[in-house]
Amino acid sequence: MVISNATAASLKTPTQVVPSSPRSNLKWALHVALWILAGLEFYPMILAIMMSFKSSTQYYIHPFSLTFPLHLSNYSQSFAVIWHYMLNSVAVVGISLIGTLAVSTLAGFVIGRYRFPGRDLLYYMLIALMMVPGVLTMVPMFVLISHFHMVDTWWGLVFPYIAGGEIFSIFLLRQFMMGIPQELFDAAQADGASIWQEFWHIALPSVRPIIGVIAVNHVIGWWNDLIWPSIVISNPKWMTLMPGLYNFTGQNQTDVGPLMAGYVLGSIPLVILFLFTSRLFVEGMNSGAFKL
Amino acid sequence: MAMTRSASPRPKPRRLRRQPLWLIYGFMFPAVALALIFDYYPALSGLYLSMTNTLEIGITSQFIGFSNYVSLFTNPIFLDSLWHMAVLAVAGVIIGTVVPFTVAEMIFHLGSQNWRYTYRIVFLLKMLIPGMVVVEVWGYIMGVNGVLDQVVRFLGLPGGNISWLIDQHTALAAIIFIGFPWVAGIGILIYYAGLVGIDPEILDAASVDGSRGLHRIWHVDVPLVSGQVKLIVILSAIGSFQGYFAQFLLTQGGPGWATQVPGYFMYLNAFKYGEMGMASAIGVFLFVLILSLTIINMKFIRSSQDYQAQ
Repeated sequence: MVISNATAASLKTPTQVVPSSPRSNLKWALHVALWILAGLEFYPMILAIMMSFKSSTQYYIHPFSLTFPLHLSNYSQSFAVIWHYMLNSVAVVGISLIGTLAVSTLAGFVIGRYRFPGRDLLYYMLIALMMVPGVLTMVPMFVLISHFHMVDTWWGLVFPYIAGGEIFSIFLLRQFMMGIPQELFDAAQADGASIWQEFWHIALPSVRPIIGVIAVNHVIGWWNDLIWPSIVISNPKWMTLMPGLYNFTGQNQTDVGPLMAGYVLGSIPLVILFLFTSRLFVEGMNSGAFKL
Repeated sequence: MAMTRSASPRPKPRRLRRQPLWLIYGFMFPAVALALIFDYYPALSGLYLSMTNTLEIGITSQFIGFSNYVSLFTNPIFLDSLWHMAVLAVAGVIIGTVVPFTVAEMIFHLGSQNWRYTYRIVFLLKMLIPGMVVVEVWGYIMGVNGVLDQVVRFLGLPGGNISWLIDQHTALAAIIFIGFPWVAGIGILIYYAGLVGIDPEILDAASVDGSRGLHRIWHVDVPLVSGQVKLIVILSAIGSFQGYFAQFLLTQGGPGWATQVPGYFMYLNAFKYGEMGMASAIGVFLFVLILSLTIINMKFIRSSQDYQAQ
């Protein structure tokens, strides 16, 4: 290999050596084009960050460029309003996530590992719901949660989130439960493990990677959800972040700085989450491709 | 067939020790109960609601058969909204199919694995940003004297100094333009996985035949990722039929009803006009539309799983 390379190099006449081959030119062009595309793609975020530091006078004169001094007080001003919504979102997302994971790991476990009458029927009954889009259920769902007196409560978000989230989760978990080696269960049963112990000590640890993927997928969707929570919750006390920011938008049409600061603050938690879960995030986005 | 299968030396799946049935059904119960109450009941009651003259919750209503559907399809606003939905869907499908493929090809043609990974992560990051924030900022970009106006003026093109989203003639196009250059999303991942999955021998054979550059992309790559193309066409169409984020945040279906779409019309009927029955009928209509696409999509679900790659 080394020899043939050396031979090839020695055979090259100076005229054959070009300073940059067309191939590397192409690569440079691709890099430049990709960075331009990325810049355009993230331009709204860059714009929001620049606008978030403006006083209303600065916005009036130079709306879309960086202006000095930076008004950091915009951030404290909007944080004072939205921190409460953020906590509500953390609570709603947290409760929904725990609920979704609990019901879907239990169901996924017995569907994937046991035979019992009606198993396939129940499984297909659940999976068929993947074909029901949110637009069909939104209006009747609101009627339902009004009957349950869940309007203006977190439960009006949590129950629909769990019922919507469990379907795809069960679909994924069943497959992973089926993939766990039988030997693990045989060994546990030889030691006299109960179904709970099998679930808790063997099944759950074995499917941990896919639980992470499911969790990341749902957290992103619920954290960023706007329309359903804005229908269900009108009391600011219980409002989650996106409808909270939406209300904040209505109140701050003239004062863009704090508004944009609110948008930036609202976007940060998921970015921080991403820093810790980038692998799960990429896998989650991949698997989300066949979720409707 | 059955004979050969049983004769094959595949190990028999061993059964788990028997567990009491009530325990197993107990494991299933929460998921099934939630699905029945919060998925099946709303879906079925939506079908029923769409055939009643329900106005607001708690007011008694009557069964009126298909009257809501008849009034919908004679309502000029709804008919226009169907047309807008079709325009947005065609644009969404073209954009959603072509742009991610182009970018996936660009990323694929970089030699370095690290760079390939970096770019995929960079474009995925955008998906973390709340859609509401992105759309609201686009509202500023397309406002009077917004960034778009300044670009138009800088390029010396006609038509500056307008609020693109409020002008009757540009509002629908402006909604399509939101998110330019439309790169971020799972489309890149799907196409990239497809390109990575192409057998290197095919690419070698193509280059021996002198097929390179755009010629190779068109005659070799495109046919080989046709499965991914179909999947993305369906997913983009379904997304366009359901979506009304820009209407909700920026145009409220206006000016007039120039950007009205069925999804947002449903929202308005249910929560602003007090026409729950009518809203449910729109929901059912969209469901049937999406279901027919989903059934087509089912053919590709297996393949879409095959196309997943890290």
